Amino acid sequence: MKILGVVCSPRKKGNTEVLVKEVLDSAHKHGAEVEMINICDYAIAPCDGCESCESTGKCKIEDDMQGVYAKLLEHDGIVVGSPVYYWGVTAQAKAMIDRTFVFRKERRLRNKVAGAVVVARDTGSSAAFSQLSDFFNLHRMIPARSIGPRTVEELARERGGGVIAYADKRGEVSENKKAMAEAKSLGKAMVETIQILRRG
Amino acid sequence: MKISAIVGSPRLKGNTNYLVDVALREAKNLGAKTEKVILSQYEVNPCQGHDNCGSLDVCVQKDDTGWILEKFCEADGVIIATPVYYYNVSAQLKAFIDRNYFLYMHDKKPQAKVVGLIVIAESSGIEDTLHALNQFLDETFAKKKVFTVSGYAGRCGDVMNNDKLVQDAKDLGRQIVEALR
Repeated sequence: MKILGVVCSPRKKGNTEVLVKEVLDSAHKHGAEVEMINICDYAIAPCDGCESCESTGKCKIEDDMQGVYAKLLEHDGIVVGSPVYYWGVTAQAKAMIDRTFVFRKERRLRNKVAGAVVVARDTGSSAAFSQLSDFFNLHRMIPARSIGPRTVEELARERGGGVIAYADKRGEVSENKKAMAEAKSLGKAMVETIQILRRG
Repeated sequence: MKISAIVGSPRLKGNTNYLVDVALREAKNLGAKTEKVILSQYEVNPCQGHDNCGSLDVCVQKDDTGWILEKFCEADGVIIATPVYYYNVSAQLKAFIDRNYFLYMHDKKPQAKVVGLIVIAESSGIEDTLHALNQFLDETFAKKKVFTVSGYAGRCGDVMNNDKLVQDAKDLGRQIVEALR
């Protein structure tokens, strides 16, 4: 079982990265192989709307997104994390999202388990969270759900399908117990959801 | 009277661009000076998020965003246009929006008093996109009147057969000019 973390923040060791890493550490603890990438380390041009992928099944733009396509396809679960910029995910995240149009027709991301991580300074978290949820839904991905037994306390510390946190200074979210608990819970839920899907 | 359009569609002959041209043509016929910037034809990189721009005179990124933002700030009226990709603005327009953070950190507001929005979707996502754009406008402009045109069109040029949308775009051009008079 392989889970990919995709950080879409240009700030290294920032709050989004801290939370995605926490999700992956938890998933690893529960048995998953994990990998984390930062989309800002890849040169990804925006989709140019040519729609040639609808007939060829391939994207004609030869940039770093080709390598990201391979990673998205080889993992069973994908957690995408973005800070909130202007009430939405970052332009870097949006470029990656738009480029996945190539997978839409054949639903090539279908049934992969999804997790969303959103970090806002003050506002816009729900709009950005919805943006990621819509992205997953358009690909028929499955939001992570805590399926196994949980205590009432644990249930209170999870947010269905993702994490929403408020933070500003680089890395300060690691002191935020609630956000870190949500991240841990998401990692475990991703593993459980993948297990259930495998069992059929 | 100067009206600048910022276009987030990468399709030069697509529906969004077509409607922007209709609106600008009408504005020009009514006496406005018009210009159109198609973002995909320039280098507008995403914001690097270092958050130091408040202490800098110019953005550290040496791409085309600087002069595009200048035009954006100087126009009397602006049109912002985008196709809907994944229930929101295109990545091209999102990069431009994120780069407005430099203006925000310098408390610099575009002087335009009138804004036109043009949003075209294939089948869904117009509401979310307009919501995102209106949030951006509220944050970025001091005081503005907003006119909106939105509707559905898929393949390149489909909108030409949509008389209502074409008329709406023409009306938008006229409304902006009249509001600026």
